[in-house]
Amino acid sequence: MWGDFRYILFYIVGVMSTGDYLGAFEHLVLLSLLRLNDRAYGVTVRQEIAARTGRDVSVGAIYTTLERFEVKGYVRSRMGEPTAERGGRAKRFFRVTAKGVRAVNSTHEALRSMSLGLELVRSLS
Amino acid sequence: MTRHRATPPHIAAWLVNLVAAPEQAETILGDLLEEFSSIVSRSGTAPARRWYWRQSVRTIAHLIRGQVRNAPAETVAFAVGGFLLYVVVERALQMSAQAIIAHSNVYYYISALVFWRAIDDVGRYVLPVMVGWTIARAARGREMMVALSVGITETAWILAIYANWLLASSGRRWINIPDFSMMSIFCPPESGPPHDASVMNTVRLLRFTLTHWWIPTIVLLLAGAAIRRATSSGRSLRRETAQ
Repeated sequence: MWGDFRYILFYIVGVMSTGDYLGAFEHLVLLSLLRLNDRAYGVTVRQEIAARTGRDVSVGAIYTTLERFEVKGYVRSRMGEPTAERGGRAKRFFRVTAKGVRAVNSTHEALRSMSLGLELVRSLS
Repeated sequence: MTRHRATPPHIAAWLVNLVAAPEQAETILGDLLEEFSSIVSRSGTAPARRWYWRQSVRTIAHLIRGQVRNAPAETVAFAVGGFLLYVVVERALQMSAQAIIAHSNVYYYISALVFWRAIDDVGRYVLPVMVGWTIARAARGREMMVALSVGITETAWILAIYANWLLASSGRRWINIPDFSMMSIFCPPESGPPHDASVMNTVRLLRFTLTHWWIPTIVLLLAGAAIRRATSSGRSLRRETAQ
């Protein structure tokens, strides 16, 4: 309940702001983080993108993007517990911040307004 | 019956560990191992190892590109700074060799061939390792990327020298681009192109420079950076274990 309310709030704030726009891959990564919520780490993000878009992305591409997002303040990360299946290494979980949600919304808004009235695009798809 | 647990390719994992920032390496290797294990149980060891190699190569490429993209100004600074450091130490070696000859009767003890061979070997094999190690020390977490960027700067410099020679041979004005290699002792830059600058001859000399000087330099620069990275990772691992 609180989660939904928070995202609605973020959406309203995001639509009002004219923030940064995301690249296509950055957009996919942030959307997959939003979908995965508390389960978002390298493997699940990779699998989510592959399952929904068919794109086989590398772990390096995801971490490079996430690192950039962390510097920009779009995501926050925390370390999980080390597990045996990972050779005693910990998972690094990511979560989208309010600023990240605003960036997603700004991009959506820009794409929506750019494609508005383009019947040709719709007829081709 | 004992079941052997499949392990990912060690070299691939080592390379990823070398290129990734220390705080990133553990997470990335953990992710790769997790997916590797699930592919082993689904499809077997061979496809899983192939997958691991493919992922590692792509991951390394992305990490290097990401490190450049995330700090472009620093990357350029390291590339130019590392190249200048290399030039300074190479020049210092050349000047030391010339000073030894001028002030002592070195040829009395060893032949000129042995002396210059030793100087050439130090310049060719020892200096790049030292420079690679030094710049890697300055660029913690991006050791391999900065060593590679210095190598790329050197490559650009060599290609500029040879392109200049070629242009000079086609009648254009010759620009004095200093040659910092050991060859410049014998052919000072002021004397102009030290060879017949025909296309065939320039290509032949370029090939010789690339195989005898450029490739060893790049490999040894990377080796110096890798040594620095491996020793610093080992030290921080020991520190973590002690804590």
